[in-house]
Amino acid sequence: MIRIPCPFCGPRDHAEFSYGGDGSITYPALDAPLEAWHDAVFLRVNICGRQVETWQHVHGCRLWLKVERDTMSHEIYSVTPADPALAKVLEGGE
Amino acid sequence: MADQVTALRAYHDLGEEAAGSGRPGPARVSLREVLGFALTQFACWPDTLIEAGALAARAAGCEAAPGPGQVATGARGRLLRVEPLKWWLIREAGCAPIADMPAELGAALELSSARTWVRVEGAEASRLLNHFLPLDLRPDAFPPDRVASTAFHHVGITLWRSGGAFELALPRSFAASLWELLVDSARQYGLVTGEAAYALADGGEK
Repeated sequence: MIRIPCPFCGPRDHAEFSYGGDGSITYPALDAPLEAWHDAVFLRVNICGRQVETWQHVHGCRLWLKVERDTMSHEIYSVTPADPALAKVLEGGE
Repeated sequence: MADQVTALRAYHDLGEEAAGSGRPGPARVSLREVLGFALTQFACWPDTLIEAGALAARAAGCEAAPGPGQVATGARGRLLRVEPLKWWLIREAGCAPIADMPAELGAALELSSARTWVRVEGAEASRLLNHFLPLDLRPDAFPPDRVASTAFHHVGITLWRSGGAFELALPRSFAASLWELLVDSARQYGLVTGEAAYALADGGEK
């Protein structure tokens, strides 16, 4: 069982979250060639170890998050809001 | 304002059920639908958080808008910070509607009939809820005036603690199903079901 420390809600069970895929991908421009989109969408590396992922806290605060996680040990190194504007809101401490 | 629609009208009057064998005594869980409240959501943009929060606090009669996971009680209502850019304001049904917010500031949305409010009390209330919720509900981890959103049988719900009670805001379309799950599981502790009228008072809406 993975526990993810949500920046808004605190540590929560991963059952509250929805996995959003590889967070390190830079998607091509909308008018990029089909091959570029094919590569971005389908050609993924199955990383054994530390990787950046996107998760949504769909049953909590609904934030999209960038989660740095070890795929072998499930250790989580960092969690930040995917939206920089929301990261700034939460860092502001109200 | 339209009359509030409830999903649990046919479920209230189950009376008191004795606990199963091995646990004599009175009911250790009570489940009540809270009626007569108005729920308004305040949503804002990242750069209007402070201004929108101040507006929500004024509507509730609070000194300041509550921070993440917190509840604040004012003279006119109770304010819950449910998401980074959202507050819920709970007031008495029939109170004056919230004035329209400028679109540049955010949006106020009437949600009264979108949620069914169930109050869970009793000696086994947290144990009952932990049959379903992946939250630490012990008093030191989830004290009064804390609010959280979580998953209940794959349904997103919001709950907060007021005094000794857990208050559950269930999406109306799932409320009957979740209520049946609570009742079925609570029978082992002995339960009583019914209604409660919303009233804003010190220590909780009792």
